[in-house]
Amino acid sequence: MLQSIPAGFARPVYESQGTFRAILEAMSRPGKVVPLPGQAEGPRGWSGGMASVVLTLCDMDTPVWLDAQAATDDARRFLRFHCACPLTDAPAKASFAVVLNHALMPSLDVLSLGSSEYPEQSTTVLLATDFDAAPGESISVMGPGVDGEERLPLSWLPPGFVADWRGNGRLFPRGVDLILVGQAHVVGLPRTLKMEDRPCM
Amino acid sequence: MSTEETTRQEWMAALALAPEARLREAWNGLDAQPQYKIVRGPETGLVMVRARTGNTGERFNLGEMTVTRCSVGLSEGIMGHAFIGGLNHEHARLAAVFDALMQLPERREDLNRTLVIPLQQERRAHLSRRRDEVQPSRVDFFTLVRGEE
Repeated sequence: MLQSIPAGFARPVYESQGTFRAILEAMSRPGKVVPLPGQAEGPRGWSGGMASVVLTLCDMDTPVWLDAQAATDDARRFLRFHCACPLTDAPAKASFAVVLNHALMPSLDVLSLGSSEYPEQSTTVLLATDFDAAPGESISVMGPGVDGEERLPLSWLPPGFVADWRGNGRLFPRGVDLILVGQAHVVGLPRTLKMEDRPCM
Repeated sequence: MSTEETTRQEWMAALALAPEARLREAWNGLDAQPQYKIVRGPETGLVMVRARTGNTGERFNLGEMTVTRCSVGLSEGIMGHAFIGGLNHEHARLAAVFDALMQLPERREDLNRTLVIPLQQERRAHLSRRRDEVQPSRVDFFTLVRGEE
């Protein structure tokens, strides 16, 4: 049985521009929880926030890799119709990687890390995150765009991520960037962000 | 059963080239107006029209054309698409709805008979009328062989 494709943005021009502005803000203020202006109607199993971010960023020039949970037939049809983006099975070829399940998060070094000449060609990971989860333990983050030092709840990150992130930081200027995407918010983790496993003062 | 089955390409063309008023009439005349939702558009943009001179040789860019497109989904999960020349959003929406309806076997024959086939006939008649009007003023160009002296 054929399924109709979800509608995406109700007002594509305004919402995609607003979402882009929110992502820009999130990437320049790492760790800050930035609200998204609207929520797109996305494929089943995807949050409205994830659908919005993908519709805003992906087009025919950006190969997209989906984790096993994201890669439903519904989602593939949705992306082909609305973004016309190529879908790739190889994370190393992807401009964007959509990860809905933290347990399926690939280690960062299997993604595209960019080259010294073109570091911007690395993969940007769109990681579905529940910002409402109990905060629990946190780590400290610092770097450009962070005023001194901020705390980031560990529950937002996949297991074993902090060590992986340190390896990613050593590759600078190469390396991947992350955008944590919630139901209606985004948090940017650009490659310049440093994480330290320091207890709360 | 009609002798010639209309293909989807043919009915989409007929709907796209029809006057909007005809589609509106047909929509108002439906016994059971279906529920549908807009999946994309109607939105207007430009497409590059490419052509070959005399249908031979390399393709070249003829020029840009204004196109309005729309996609709708019926509750049955069927999707209809329309691409029409010009800016008429209402036309694109109706054409997309009828494209979706034409995919339902229980609707197709009826719509074919009452809408698509008449539209195709009108279009053919219109084109042949145009041809007849233009034909008398036709000029054939040919090159005279010039003498050597």
